[in-house]
Amino acid sequence: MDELKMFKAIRPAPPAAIDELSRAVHDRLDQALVGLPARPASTFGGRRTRLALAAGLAVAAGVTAVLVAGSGVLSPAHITRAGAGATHWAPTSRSVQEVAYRTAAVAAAQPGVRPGQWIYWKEKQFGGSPDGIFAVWTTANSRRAAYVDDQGKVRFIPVCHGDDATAMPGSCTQFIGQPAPWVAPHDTSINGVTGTIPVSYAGLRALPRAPRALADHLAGLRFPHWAGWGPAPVRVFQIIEEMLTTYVMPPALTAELYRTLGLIPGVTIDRHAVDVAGRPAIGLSIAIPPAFGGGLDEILVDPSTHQLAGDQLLTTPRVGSASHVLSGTAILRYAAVSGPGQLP
Amino acid sequence: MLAQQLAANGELSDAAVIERSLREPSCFAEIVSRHGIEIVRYVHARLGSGLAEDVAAETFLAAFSCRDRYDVSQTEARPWLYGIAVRQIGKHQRAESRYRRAIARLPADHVPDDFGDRLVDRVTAEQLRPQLWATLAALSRQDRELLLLVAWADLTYAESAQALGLTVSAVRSRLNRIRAKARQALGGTNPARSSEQTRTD
Repeated sequence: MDELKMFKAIRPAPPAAIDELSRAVHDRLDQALVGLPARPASTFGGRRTRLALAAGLAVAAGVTAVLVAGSGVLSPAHITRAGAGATHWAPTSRSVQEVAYRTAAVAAAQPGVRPGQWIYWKEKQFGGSPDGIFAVWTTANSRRAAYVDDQGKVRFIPVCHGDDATAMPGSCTQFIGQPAPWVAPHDTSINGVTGTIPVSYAGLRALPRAPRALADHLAGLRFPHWAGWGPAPVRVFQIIEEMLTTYVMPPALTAELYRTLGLIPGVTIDRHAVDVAGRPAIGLSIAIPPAFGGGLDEILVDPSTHQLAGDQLLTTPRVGSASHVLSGTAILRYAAVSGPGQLP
Repeated sequence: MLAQQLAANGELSDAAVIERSLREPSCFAEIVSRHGIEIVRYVHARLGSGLAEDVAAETFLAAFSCRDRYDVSQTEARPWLYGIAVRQIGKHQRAESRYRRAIARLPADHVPDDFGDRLVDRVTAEQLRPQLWATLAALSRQDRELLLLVAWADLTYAESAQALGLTVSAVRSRLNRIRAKARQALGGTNPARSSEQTRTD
């Protein structure tokens, strides 16, 4: 049997309501093109007519203005507050708060960096393809990234700025965590988790400075793509995880983010965690509900220095069997350097 | 020129519609009508129902906004739209990996009609379902995108190459490499081969 056919066989079934879904896409485009709420069903008939009419109106209004309005409706970069409402979370355990506050104290004592400061990262990756140790340089705001090729030359990795939806696939990417360059003489590849972090580096300035307010703010963010993220505590945990593992932020804010972790219900401490490099670690963990992929998400800190050591995703532990790591990254070293290609 | 713009069925080709939409934006609705369901189905397979609507809509909005850069020598817009969809899906990689993990645990409730006529093929794929999902998860992003465009979106090698900005020979060699990886992950042999076939080989 052909391997391709086997992969074809596991293709998820199309939704029963594919026509409705498709109509909904048309509606979204309607809204985007006219920049107005969906209009009642047109007496002109089918969807095609409605969209044509909407697009016709767009011409009258000026296509450029309309597209700006449209991208405001649909762009993942368009993230707003969902409105007032405190999270009212129950207090977490004292051990969680202790680790969170201890880690925060260490983070607060770190030197500050400029957004454009180059950072050297040496990391070990597991669960990606390929696995192993790589070195990469990024700016603190993660808007630039570089690696050293097999000839010793610095090469820049195309990183998207904001929501560059029109670029061809592969031409640039937004990374969560650090991009992983695998340097080989004829087949260098850049891997890594891609996506949009709900809080941009520029948006850090707007974040509240108190942990409770920060938790409320992050839980109340309105992001167009929460569908795969799970309930608010998991979302807040994962936003913080993405920020901590991607950006190098002002020390005071980093400290507040750690303190915020200590407020999230469902967060537990794993004092016997081991990172993907085999080093002992303390894990701040949260269970992802099965409907959102399941598993245990862990932010790891070094047990002796209380500095960020990495993150990992484990299988949900079951009675009689230990959980195992599905994927993860161990930060072996990171340090501010004078430029890409420079070692600390 | 007009003859080139006409598709085989006598309708205007996608390229001609897109070109016309530069003057009359409303024409772009025709592209959505022609390819909307297919793109929605693919995005749904990749990200699940929670994100399918958002991401499919973003795909068409992005296509509309960059239609002036469409290569009109490509009469079919399908690969171009899939290329944009791949890019949009890439923005939700975490959600995608969550969805993959969730769905990998579910029993298959659907086997595509064109999957094959041998019962043994269906049974084999079902038995190897966890390994197949694990293999998929272990592929690099570029390899996974290519594999899924060919296996789930039924794009030809040439269309996949166009969608991902590769050459056809690069697609061919990558797919060979992916096949080899899959074979290795599935036990190093063709798992669907019956004992009878094995004896006669």
